Amino acid sequence: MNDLAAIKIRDINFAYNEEQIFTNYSLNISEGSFVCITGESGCGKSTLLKLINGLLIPQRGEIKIGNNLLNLKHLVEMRRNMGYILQEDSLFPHLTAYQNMIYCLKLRNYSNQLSKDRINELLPLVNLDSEILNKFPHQLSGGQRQRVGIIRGIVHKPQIVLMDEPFSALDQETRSNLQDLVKTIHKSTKTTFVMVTHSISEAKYLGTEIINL
Amino acid sequence: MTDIWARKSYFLTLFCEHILISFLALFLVTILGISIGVLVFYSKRSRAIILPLVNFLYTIPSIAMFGLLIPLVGIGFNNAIIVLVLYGLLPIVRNTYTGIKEVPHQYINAARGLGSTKKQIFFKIYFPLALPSILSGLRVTTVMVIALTGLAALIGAGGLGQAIFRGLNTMNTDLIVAGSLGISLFAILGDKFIGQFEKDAKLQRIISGNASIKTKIKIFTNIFVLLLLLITSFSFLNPQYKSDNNTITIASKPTSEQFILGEILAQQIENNTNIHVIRKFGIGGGTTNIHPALLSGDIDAYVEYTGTAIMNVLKYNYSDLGNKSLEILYSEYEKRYNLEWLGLLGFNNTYAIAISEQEANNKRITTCSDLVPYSSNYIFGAEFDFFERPDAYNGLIKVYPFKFHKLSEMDINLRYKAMEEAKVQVIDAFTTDAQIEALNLKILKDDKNFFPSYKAGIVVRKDILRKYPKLKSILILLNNSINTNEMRKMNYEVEINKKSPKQVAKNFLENNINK
Repeated sequence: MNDLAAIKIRDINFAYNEEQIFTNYSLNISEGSFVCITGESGCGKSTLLKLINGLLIPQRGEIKIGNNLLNLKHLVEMRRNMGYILQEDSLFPHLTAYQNMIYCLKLRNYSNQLSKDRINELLPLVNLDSEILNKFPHQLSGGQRQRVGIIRGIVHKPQIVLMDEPFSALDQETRSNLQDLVKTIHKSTKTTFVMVTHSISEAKYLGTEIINL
Repeated sequence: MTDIWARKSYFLTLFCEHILISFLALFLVTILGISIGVLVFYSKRSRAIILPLVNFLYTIPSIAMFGLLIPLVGIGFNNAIIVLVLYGLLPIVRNTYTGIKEVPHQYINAARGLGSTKKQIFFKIYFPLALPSILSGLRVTTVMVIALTGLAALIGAGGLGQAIFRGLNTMNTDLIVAGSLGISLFAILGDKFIGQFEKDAKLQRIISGNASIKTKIKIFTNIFVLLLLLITSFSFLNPQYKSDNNTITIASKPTSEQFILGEILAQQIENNTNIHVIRKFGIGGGTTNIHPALLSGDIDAYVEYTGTAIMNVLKYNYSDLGNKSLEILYSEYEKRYNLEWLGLLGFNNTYAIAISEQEANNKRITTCSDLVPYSSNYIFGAEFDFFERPDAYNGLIKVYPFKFHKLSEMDINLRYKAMEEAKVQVIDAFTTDAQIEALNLKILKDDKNFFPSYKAGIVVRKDILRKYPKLKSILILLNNSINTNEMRKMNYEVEINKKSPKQVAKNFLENNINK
């Protein structure tokens, strides 16, 4: 692990309406690490992730992704260098599994052939059969949906992958399968992972670093 | 129904007009409605103004809306399209707005988090996911617009509603039924057509680029059939003559008599010139809507009645003019409006008091004055108007002091029915009403000259007379050619014997003018 910080959060303040969530909060996340953020519900786990992604903007302080300051102007460009994996119900219902997977490639106008090659490369990694590619999300199981969601989040080779309680709605067996899978992906890609989870055991199993808010 | 079959080309024309008006209105309202719905979603400020406004438009009675637009855009096609578009807006604007608003937040979060631009979020997520809601709004609008196009006939824009109004005004039930069924059937088909796009999320699949071949074929076949229908309708109506300069537009009010007179004018022109006649018959609201259209040039000529022109158009008190009324009428029309009265056709379609022939004979009643002493034995029935107008009931009882047993207000078309069923014994009538003959009624002589004259005459725009120098000499051949009996007989032919106004007009011209 090297000491270059992938994400630098410095002295941020953030409040929802009246409720103060972060006061002078700072955090460094080093490149290539797998950081798990845990804590009680309502402590601001998901908020932190949304701040890193720019879906929320801190009232004070700054956030740097690599060497770039997160600001409104470059938001879209910066997000495109991140992967975002949410709960399995966030797949776009009107798009097929394949279209969901290549969503980020389409945003950058990748050619059909390049997209197809990239998916063929990723399918074995998440143990998905090519049969499911033309199915719609509602025709897949919860586990299959989340595997599609993982591909959607990493297909564009992001430098940072953000995961917001991705496995919380899945049964135990599917869940541990997917944990192993994410662990493998992290090892093979050396990408920085930031994952929010309420499960301490999941954090201990996956994280190279655990932050308890 | 054999009557309807004989009119099949008439119905085909109406159907083609109906489909073109409805389609154009729907096409425009879809684009406008979705745009407004999207605008309203993104801009809070416009939402506060536009949503209540669209709601308000929807609450204006449709007939009033057609009428309100006449001073601005005249009668006919444009007016109809504007009204239909304004009316159809509400369901689409609303469903677009709520459809977008209710797209679940997790999809929007995911799309934003993955780096979509605002535009990409709209076109890739919001719009496709709101589409089912938009389409169900469009279905409501489609049914509404097709049905409402039925009213377009009131302002001379044509469509199947024309058959209904013609049927209502000439007491021809077959026409009413055929027109209504046609509109219902058409609305059901329109609903099914839009339903095709909604069913199984077909359109959503197509714009998301994941429709099966079968779905694509189905949708494109549907669109192809629609286009074919539109093109066929368009070429069937062959509106090329509209750009052709050699036309004249004849209008009529919505009564049997006016349909017949309109036809007589039209055929007289067609038989003797090569001018193409456009018929805008059965215009709702009569003079109120025809006169402005005449001034704006949407209409070139029609048959008007002297009493109506003097009191409703020129706003004179009829009794003030005395025996100079015609002179003043002609010169004021020319001076104020640049319109020419070509003279009078001969008959006087005025108000009259009618009782049954039998009763008249028994009591030896021949004049209104004769009726006064017997009036307390009778119930008097008349339309709402008659009790409202100063030149009708209120003035009447000052001249003839009737003391009827009871007054009964009813719709104008029900007076004769009430007479037939003996619910009333005295009614107001128009002197040329066919029912006078059909029910054996006696018209009482207006011995104190209370009722104004409603003599029919042709009114024409002066610039049209200059443009077609032959026109005047052809039309004045009709002057003094129809007496009150003759007119009543022709009305009888249409209302009781169910002949078409076209046929009756043709017979009249053959037997009386072009012998």
